[in-house]
Order: sequence, then structure tokens, then C-alpha cells
Amino acid sequence: MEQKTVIDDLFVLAYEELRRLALAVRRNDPSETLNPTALVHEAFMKLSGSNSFEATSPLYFKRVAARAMRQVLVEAARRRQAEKRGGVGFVRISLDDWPEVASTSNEELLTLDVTLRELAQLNPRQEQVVEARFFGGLDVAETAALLNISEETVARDWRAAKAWLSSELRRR
Amino acid sequence: MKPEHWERIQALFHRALSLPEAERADFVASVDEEAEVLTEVKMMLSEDARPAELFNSGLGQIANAILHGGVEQQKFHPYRLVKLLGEGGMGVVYLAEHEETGTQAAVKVLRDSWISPARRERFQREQDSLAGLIHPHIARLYGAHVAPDETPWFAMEYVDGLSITRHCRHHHLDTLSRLSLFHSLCEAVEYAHENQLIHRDVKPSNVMVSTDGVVKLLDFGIAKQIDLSQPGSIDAQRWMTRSHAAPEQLLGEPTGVFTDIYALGLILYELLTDRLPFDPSRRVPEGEPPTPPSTEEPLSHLCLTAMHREPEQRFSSVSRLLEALEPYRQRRSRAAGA
Repeated sequence: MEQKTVIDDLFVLAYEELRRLALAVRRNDPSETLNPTALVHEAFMKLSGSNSFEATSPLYFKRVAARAMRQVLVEAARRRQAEKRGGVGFVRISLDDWPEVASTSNEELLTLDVTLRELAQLNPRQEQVVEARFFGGLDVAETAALLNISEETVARDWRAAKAWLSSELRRR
Repeated sequence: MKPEHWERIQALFHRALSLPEAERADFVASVDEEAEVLTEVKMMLSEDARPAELFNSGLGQIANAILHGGVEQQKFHPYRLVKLLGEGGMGVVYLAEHEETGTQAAVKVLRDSWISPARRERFQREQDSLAGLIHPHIARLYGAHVAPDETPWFAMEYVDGLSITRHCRHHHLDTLSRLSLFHSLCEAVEYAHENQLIHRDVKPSNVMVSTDGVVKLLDFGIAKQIDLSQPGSIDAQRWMTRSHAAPEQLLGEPTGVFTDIYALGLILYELLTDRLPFDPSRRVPEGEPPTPPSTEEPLSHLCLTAMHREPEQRFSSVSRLLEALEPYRQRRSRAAGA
């Protein structure tokens, strides 16, 4: 299968899983948060039985899913921002109970995305570590295997990146 | 910042971290470095000392807020939205009212349509499938539209009622009444097949019985043109519901009329026994389904034939299935009338 199709499929899958899970979680307990690790794992399990994905290793899948997750969220946040600025004649229907939270998260995520791209300029590997750990929910061992580096390097990269990104986010 | 700066910053950061917390500030102060680098190291150390809110609360909270925050909707002229009926990965369904006539409708909106072409195609496919189908037991499409921001949506018949299995349990229906509902469902599926459409997701939650007792088949979201069916495409499998999937769907093999026949057999099984023959979370098909308990032979045979593991062993068409069902129904209704 074409690479583009695979990405698109995973994209849709990641997005819809995320939405589905978010709904399920909110229904059960509004204060509970989603678990990206479980999410990506579940998405993989769902696909693993199909022929087209026989050749896909769990690790490869997780990498693509992490990227998809990041892009999906960034795109969603961007749209929400644009809607809030009111470009397209929206009528707001009050079905949501926490617009404040949403607005903060939109900005937070968009800033994180920009900052991550700056990190990539400084050290591309560290961007990948953050993407895998944060957006894909990969653990240290998986991230190490994926990027072909030691677990110790992953841990160091993650700690430094986290501290730098946090300070950048606070500053902006 | 330059990459070489970043290298020096990190080196100092990690060296400071290797020291006891109380000694870190003095260490940084003692280092002979550019002020810019030192400032950065100090800031990172102070971030490291406190919980990283964003990274600890994790993606989930953010995702939750972003995906749910702000349910902005546009005007769905000529419909007025009344309430949210349901929400899934694909889209949102609202109960709506026609502004002029007051007729109720279900308005289905593909939320975040920009996400990917595959989603738009699937949504479009449901719309196209429905447009060609006018049958008393299939929920009708009223009209398809595109909102100003290019969000596709359509209005369709609203069915107020329960799923076929819940309806039967709720009203304690006897076998004969259940078979009559099943017969209507078969007619709907047969009609779709005559129109070259395989539904591929016939399951109780897609088969509603309205409050006045009329069966309506819903959700042609993964329906496929019979002549276009592609073997083993991921698309064919991704959306199916595992608990009600035919063996060929679980295996990623070609689907066909026989896939809907299997689903009908499974629904009949549920209608007769109030339970599923298999573990609903199964990942691979098992052998032949077990004989439905406490069911008369002609019916259990009919069920098992429809649900045969091998597609070619099933009824070759819905009308064949109905032909097998009819004598039994007639005999039962004569007996009931006598």
C-alpha cells in the first residue's frame, strides 16, 4: 500500500479513536484524562488483524500514530482558534461546559508545536523523543528502540527537552 | 539559540542535576559561561524542580479539551437543531425540526471534515447510498448539503424508537412477532441488494423499530457498491463492528451479499435467544456457530445456514432466506390463530 494511504488511514484512525475514547472517558468520569499509550495501543490492536498491516511493526505504527496524533491535535486546535475569531459566520450552540479550558489548551498545544519545531532545529532527535513519548505514549525502552539510541540517552533527552519546553511555554 | 549553545546548556543542566539539589545554584554561579547560556540553565533547573504540568497531565487532558471544547455549529437551514442525539468518531447526529413544516429529522454532520479525504469519502458514500434507496424499512435521506465552511451534512428520517433487539425484549414479543420484524428487515436488505448495495454493518443498533412498530434500517456508512467491492481493502475492515462481523470481514477477505446474509443470521440468532453465539470481542472467526438453544429445528437450521463459516454455504440471496423462513412463519401463525 502506498505510504500516503497508510498515513491517511492511520490519521483517520488515530483521530477517530481519540474522539471515541475522549467521549467514553468523559461519559464515565469527566475528570479522568485520556491515556495516549492505551489509545495508540488500542488503535494498533484494531488494525493488527488486517492483511494490509501485516508488514507493519508495532513500533513503526506507533511512530506514525504519534505523528498523526500531533498533527490531528494541532489542526484541531488551529481550527478552533480560527472559529473563535469568528471567520465563517458561526452560531454558537451551548453544548460545551468548559470553553475556558478549551481555549487554554488550544493555545498551549499550538505553542508546544511551534516550540517543538524550534527544538528540532537545535536537535532533531530530541523532537522525535518528545513526539514519541508525549504524543505516541511510547515508553523509554520503545523510544530507544525506535530511534536506535540507548535508554539513558532517551531519559536525558526527555528530561532536558521537557525542562526547556516548559520554560519556553511559560515565557510565551 | 544556536545548536552549539543548546549543547552547552544541556551539558551544564545534566552536570547540575548530578549534584545534590542544594549545591546546584552555587555550581551554576561558579561556571565561566555566557550569561545567556547560564540564564537558560537556571530556568531549566527551576522547571525541572517543579512538576511539568503539561507533560504530566498529559496529552489526554489537552486532547479532551480541544476535541470537545467549542461545539460550534452553523445554521442548518431549513432545519433547526433541537438536541444532540449521538456523537461518534465520524460525526454528530442531531434531532432537528424543519423550520417551516415542523417535521422532525436527524441531521448528520461530518465534524472536522478537513481531517482527511478518507473521512469525507466515507461520509459521501453513506449519502450516495441513501440517496438511491426509497423503501418503507430504510430510513430516508431528505437532502444533502454543504455548510459555508464546507462541512458536509445531510438530513434524514428520524426514527424514534429502540433497536430491534431491545424493542423485542422491552415488549416481551413472542417468536412470531419477532419473525415478523425480522421479515421486514430482510425485505430492506433485499431491496438494497437489488440496488447493488451491500450494507456490511447490519447489526441491532442499526436496525431500529419505531414507537409505532415499524422496522427501519439505518447507517449505510460502510455500504459498498456490489460491483466495486475490493478484496481485503483495509477500508472494508476498519469500520466494521467486531461483535457482528462476518468471518470474511474479520479475516479481511472479500465481502459480498453473503456478508449481509451472515449478519441477518446473527440478528435472527439474537432475536430467538436474546444472546450472541460468540464472544463479542473475538478477533478471529471461530468454527461453526453453536446451535441456538431452545429453538425449533427449522429456525435453528435457518440461522446456522445463514451464518455458515463458508460464504458459499450460506443462502445465496435474501430471497432464498425468506423462502426458507416463510413456510415456518405460516405454520406458526396458523397454529397461533387456531
